Amino acid sequence: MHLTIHNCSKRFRTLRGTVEALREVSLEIGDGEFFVLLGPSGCGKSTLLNLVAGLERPSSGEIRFGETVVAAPARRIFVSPRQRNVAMVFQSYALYPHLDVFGNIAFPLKVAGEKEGAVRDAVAEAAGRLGLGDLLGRRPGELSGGQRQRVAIARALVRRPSVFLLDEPLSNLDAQLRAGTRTELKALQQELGITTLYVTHDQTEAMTLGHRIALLEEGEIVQVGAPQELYDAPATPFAATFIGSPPMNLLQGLIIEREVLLPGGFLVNVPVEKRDMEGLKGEVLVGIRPEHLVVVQEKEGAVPGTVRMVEPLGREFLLQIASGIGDLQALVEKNPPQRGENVNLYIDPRRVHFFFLQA
Amino acid sequence: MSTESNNSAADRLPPRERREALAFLLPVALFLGGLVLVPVLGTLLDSLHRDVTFLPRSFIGLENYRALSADPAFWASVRFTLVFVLVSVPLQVVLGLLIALVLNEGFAGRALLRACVLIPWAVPAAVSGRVFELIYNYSYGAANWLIQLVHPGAGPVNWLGTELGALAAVVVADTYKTTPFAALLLLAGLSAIPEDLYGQARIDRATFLQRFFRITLPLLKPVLVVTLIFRTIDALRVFDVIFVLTGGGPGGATSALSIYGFRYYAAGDFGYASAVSVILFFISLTLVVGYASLGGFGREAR
Repeated sequence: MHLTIHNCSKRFRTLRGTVEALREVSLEIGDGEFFVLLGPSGCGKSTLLNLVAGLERPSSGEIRFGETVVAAPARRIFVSPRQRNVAMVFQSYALYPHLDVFGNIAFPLKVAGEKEGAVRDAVAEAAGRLGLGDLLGRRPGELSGGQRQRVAIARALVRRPSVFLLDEPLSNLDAQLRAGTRTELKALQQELGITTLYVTHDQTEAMTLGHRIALLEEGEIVQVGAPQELYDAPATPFAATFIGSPPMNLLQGLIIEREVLLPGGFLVNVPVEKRDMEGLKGEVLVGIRPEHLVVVQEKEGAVPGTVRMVEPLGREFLLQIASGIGDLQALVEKNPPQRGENVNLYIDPRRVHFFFLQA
Repeated sequence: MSTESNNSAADRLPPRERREALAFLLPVALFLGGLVLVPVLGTLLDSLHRDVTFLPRSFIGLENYRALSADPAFWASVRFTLVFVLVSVPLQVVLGLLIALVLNEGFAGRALLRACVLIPWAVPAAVSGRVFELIYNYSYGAANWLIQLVHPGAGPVNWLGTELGALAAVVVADTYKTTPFAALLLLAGLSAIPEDLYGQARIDRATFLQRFFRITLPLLKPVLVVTLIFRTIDALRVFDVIFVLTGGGPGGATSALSIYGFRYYAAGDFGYASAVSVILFFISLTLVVGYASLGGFGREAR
């Protein structure tokens, strides 16, 4: 199912005034795509998911499932969730506490009035796929977090939805289980090929799961693209710091012809391919990812700094450095300098990101 | 199952901790014993005596109960009390549930409305009883005025002077006063049901009625049973509304068991009145035990 979200806004009216949760959001989600809505809490990603589910009505704009318009307030069109054939996994899993696992998975089929035998077969298949075959008689209260999450997914898949919606489904799991479930979710989605919309605040989840990611900030879309695109070419300082861990270093700079002046009087050459900012003047934010800062021997052209902290991450080491251009984080793979050691950092101009500050 | 496991758990405790546990339980045991058990046993004992103000107290066995069962007025009271319970409690719980469902929806001014709904419950029964007395007045009451307004041909209803009219009057007055209490309890139960479940049910394509019968009702059942218990016990010992409104009349038609018993207390026949109280107590106890097994308490609540 191809999804179109066109110029959707959502305003909530409260006694304290109007809150604009989404502002003119437009997205195209391809058939069978695993699409991630990423952003910090309060950015509107869950609201967007609820608009697609039909749990909320957009204030303006239009939502289409394939060719069918499911929500268009201007034309007074609104298709209820019942008629949209979407399935959803809530962050809380929203399992029916008074029903056992079988009853939970069977619920969407039973309310649709399907025959006993068909229900049993479908539940058995969905439960089997998620390894819940032995737990059908248990109540949600008797299940572990991971098992509950599987029940929620089985219930979502049991009636072959055309769109699969997930709202932070992994955030209640412990770290180890989360990584494993992430992989399984991705495999399941690839196997079933259901168009999937996945909400998360976790950039690692977004990067690993999504075919494409939409990054949201304060109700607006900051950037849409494949995970690697967002990582390699962040559109704004927010995108640059939100995606990637540890986050990108950001420094204030001043453009002077073909060079950027950094604090402490250091100059960075602007590489040829980024010369489109030529002629521009004024302040700029300079971003460099921790893994692109290189500790070098020669002092020439390098930024001197002092190592404040060394944090071993296993495969690599994260250095906190107080340098001539400001506090920096750098990643090195081996032979880390000692705490308190003076180092020279080389900034590769081709690896540097420039963000213009809007006047 | 629960008592067994409790016993074995207590047995496993070392003696010192067991003594401590008992010490912690002592205050509540004294409280319940002093304020519940002693009066109940006292009443039970008293009901086996001839205990009249002007005569020395003497043990007469079940004589009070025999006299009771021979009195047609007693059986009329039992009948009226049960009819009152059967009519008023379902009415109050269903109305309370409807109010609670409305108040559980999100809308502006909900908090204010919640407070307003409670007002009838906060008004003393004697006061609301007087008000209803005015409403039901044959010649100038609001009820008859309203009937004439809607249906000009109909004659005025003698609310408090006929058997059926008095029953209706008492039931309406009691429902007005106690429905807010039922609504409050049920609202607490409703707000404990997570909002996500309803979102999920809508996604799962359940209709409004399916959401009510497959989610709301089963999850509300424990609270519903508690509400029924409270309301049933209260309705069984209904006193104030009837006392103010009809005084048990006309001709004893609304004489609930508590009114019947009160007459004998007032006349100084404490033994006989105690026998009435004991019977009321056992009716309540039977119903509560029935409800409790219906609600599945004692089984692990989830």
